[in-house]
Amino acid sequence: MQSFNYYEPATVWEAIGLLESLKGNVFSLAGGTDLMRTLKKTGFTDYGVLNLKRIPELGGIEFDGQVMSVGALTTVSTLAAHPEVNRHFPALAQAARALGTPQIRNLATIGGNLGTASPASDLAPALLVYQARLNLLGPDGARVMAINEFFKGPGQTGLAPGEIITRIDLTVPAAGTVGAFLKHGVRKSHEIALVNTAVLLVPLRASAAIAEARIALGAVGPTVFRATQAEEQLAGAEGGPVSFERAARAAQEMTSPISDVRAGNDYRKHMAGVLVKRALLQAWGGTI
Amino acid sequence: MAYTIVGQRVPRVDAREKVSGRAVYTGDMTLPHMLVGKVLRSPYAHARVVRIDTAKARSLPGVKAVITFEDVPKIFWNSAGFPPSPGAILMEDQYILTDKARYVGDGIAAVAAVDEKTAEQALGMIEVEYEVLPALMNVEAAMADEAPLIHDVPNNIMAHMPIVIGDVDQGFAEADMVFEDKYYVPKVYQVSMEPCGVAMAAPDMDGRITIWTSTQMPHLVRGITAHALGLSTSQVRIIKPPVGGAFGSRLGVVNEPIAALLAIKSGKPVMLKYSREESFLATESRHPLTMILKTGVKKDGTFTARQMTAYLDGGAYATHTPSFAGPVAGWFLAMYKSPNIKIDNYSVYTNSTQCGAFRGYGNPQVVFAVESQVDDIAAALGLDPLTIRLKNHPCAGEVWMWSNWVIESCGLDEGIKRGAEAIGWGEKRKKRFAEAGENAVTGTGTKKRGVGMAYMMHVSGARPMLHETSAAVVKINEDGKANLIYSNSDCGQGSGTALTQVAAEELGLNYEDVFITKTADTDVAGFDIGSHASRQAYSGGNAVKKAAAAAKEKLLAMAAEILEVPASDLEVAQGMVRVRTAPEQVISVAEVSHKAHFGTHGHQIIGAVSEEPPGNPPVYAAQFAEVEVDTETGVIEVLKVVAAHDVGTAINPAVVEGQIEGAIQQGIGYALTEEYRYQPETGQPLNPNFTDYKILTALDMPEVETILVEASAETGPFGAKSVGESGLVATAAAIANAVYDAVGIRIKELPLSPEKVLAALREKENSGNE
Repeated sequence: MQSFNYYEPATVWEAIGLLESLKGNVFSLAGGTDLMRTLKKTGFTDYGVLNLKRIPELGGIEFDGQVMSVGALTTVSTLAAHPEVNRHFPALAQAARALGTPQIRNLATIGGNLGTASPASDLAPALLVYQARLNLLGPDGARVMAINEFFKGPGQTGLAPGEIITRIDLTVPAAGTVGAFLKHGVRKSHEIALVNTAVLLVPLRASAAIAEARIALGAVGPTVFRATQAEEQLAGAEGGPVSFERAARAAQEMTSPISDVRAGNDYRKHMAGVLVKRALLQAWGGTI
Repeated sequence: MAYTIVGQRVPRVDAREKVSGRAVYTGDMTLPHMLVGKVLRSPYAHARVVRIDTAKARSLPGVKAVITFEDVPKIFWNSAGFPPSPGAILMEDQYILTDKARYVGDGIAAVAAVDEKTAEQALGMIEVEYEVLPALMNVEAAMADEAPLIHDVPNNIMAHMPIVIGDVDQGFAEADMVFEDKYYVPKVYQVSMEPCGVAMAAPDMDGRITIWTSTQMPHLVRGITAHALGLSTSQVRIIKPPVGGAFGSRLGVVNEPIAALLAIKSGKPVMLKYSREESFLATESRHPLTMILKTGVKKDGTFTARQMTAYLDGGAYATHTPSFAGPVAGWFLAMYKSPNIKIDNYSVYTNSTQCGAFRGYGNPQVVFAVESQVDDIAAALGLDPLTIRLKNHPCAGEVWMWSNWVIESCGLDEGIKRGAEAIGWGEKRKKRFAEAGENAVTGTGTKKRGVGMAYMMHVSGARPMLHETSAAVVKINEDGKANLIYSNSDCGQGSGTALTQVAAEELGLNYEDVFITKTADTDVAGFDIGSHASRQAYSGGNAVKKAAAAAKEKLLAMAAEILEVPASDLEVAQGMVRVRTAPEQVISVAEVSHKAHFGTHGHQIIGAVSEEPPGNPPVYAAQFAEVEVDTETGVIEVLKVVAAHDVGTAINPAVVEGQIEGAIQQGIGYALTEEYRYQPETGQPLNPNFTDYKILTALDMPEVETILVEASAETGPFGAKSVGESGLVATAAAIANAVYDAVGIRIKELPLSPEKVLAALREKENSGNE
């Protein structure tokens, strides 16, 4: 491995100052499970590494019973085990458990996962259906960005130069809401999704109908995305195999998967439909 | 027969150091002034080096040696670890570094520098200009008339091996039905935990060089390395520390000559340690094979003719391939009896990394094809798959055509019976195409279960194709404990433990009182072939048992002198020598040995043997798999594997079961997920990493039930035969046959990926609708 410049800011403002003065010629490190692998392979060229892990404000989970504020440095294993995450955001907890291996989950962070902007991210589809709000901080101050505006392409995000993600806010869904996350790969652990999906169904009070559906897909497009056309089909519809099958086909239509060494695009497209249908069935039949 | 130590589940001799992390592997070692070696690899699959300039790299401070093709001895060599033998066809077509790249990763230059960073920086400063040639990535492309030549052989065919027994045309004419199918199995890697390719070479002041290396065959690697360097064999000393798994990947020279040449040029010790990626890029894998099988059969299941035409994709260099064609023919030939057999094996060069040995050595490939087809034949004839196998396999007392020797013992029939019972064969086979019960996805009903089986035979050593020499020295120390000096090529399988048990049993000492040399050292131990062909228990065990017997004979003679009784009246057990008819007349081995050392004529009791074992008794296995196929996703889940293995006497049943269970993990990977792939036009490897080369995790493993059938062999040490390789040979075929039972599809190419399963299901549905 080559030598490289290493920075270890102690506060968010120090971090932002460094990002600004280095004019972006630095990689932010929040967990390192993806970054270090990439850097060992491609080399550092003239870039340095900015380690955000020593900044206390970026850690911790706060919950007031309605809004959960998740620090960007929260590890995936913390998310997976957190009782309130499991109770109120089960699809996110399931996604966290599906990510990588125990070793990777112990290092990888929610902020790093979002910042890497992998189209196959496991956390992103779950965060999309819970309509996470990303708190960003940069040279021009703080702002909040809805997660559906965050992903711009593979590895591309809406972060402005010098900006970092500080916290991720989630609001507890309406009572009775059910959700599920499913991931498809060829093995049960240590896997990158061929397709993944998170779904959320808000039932109409005292009826078998669906008030609102949210469906997100990963690894079948340049970014993770919401299958809005499938969601629209389910709004007001009765929940069940027929409507779910129809919604799954609509979701499938919105995918644009690639072919690579992991799977062909036809198979990914097929599986997107199967997975959405199964996730909807599982969520509807299960409890929150 | 009852034994004291053989058959016991004693702890392994290397257990403590390995589970505590204290074992010192080659890559952990360091020597004063040690340099780090690195290899510059070709980025092209097929290219000529037009110009190479190392001046800048040489002038970089900290760089102590830079070598290219210009610096290597112009001696052709072959990396495969074979003893010169009738079955070894050793085409020498390699140099230590090349001026013509034949695969992505071929070694073009190497450097030794004071540290890794400097070595890597130096690699980046070597300027190479290539003339890129077309990449030939499969046997069809390579054999085409217009294809460029990878080496100077017509159509890139390095060898053609024809075998004819009887008259297949007549056999097909006599058949009631003839089956013809084409099968393909991909390139897969051994992926041992310790990456393949770790060597540390240190030259001395007397023209000799010592190489610590992670190898399966210290003595043969010594000879090949010496030849490649232009040295005589004894100028090289190989030391083999603990090895972190091998599975065939270290069956010959890996990177020892590069490390040695860097060490010689720099005059300093050099460590050359391949990364995981380099292990994929530049070391040997299992051979991809295309096999066309044609089988003629009578209605009662008798085979009238069997024919195989196989294309062996050997990759960029010959290494094992032309010799490997022999066992490939042997596995096919010897599995099922038939009066008429014809085989044509073509060994072909391509621009992929050279292929070599991987657990099973051609048998997993052949068994996948043969057992898939036999399953189809049984279905077409309406026979139970168990019946057709029981009817046609070679039995004890018959000649096994692999070796042309008489089969000593056969535990297959018992294995099939017990295995079938364990998997629930009878009742489950009746429920073909039945819906899965408890595991079915809610409301979708897409999961179907099935059971299948396959059988295999394998070797205990490689006689008479290859020499099977082993040497052992047993010396009894003053305290009555013994050293077993042996070229211990245990690479994790537990053979060092088994051999210690053999020595202790024969000597009549306690297991804890016999110490095998854990490290193999060619300056110390006698010539030994190493770990190949599942030979350690049988071949190594034979030499160890005889050396122990020789020592015991001298021990009893000495004891007879002391006790004043004939030696023939004495027996030894648990470290005590007794008069058989008068057990109160007893003397400890310690006392006898002490008297030997320091009595009237001082000498140490030593037994030494170097020889080949008398035979090569085959082992049998029947493996059964139960699977669940998801017809909507194409995913196959293996629910259970039952492995019934005839291993002869199990010297250490825990070690034997461990070997089988570990092998099954590799066998399921071969069946379902593993495939090393290249970009077909450029030959760039697509998955030289653990992200995309999919070996199974602990979570993917099904329940495994191991059944040991101990049909012991008279010529084996205490009746032992073998186990090392056989655990994975039949696994993929058993799974493929279970998939056929579950959903009625026959996939003839491994791995059985979800995409192939879905395509086959669609095809079946479409043909059903016509």
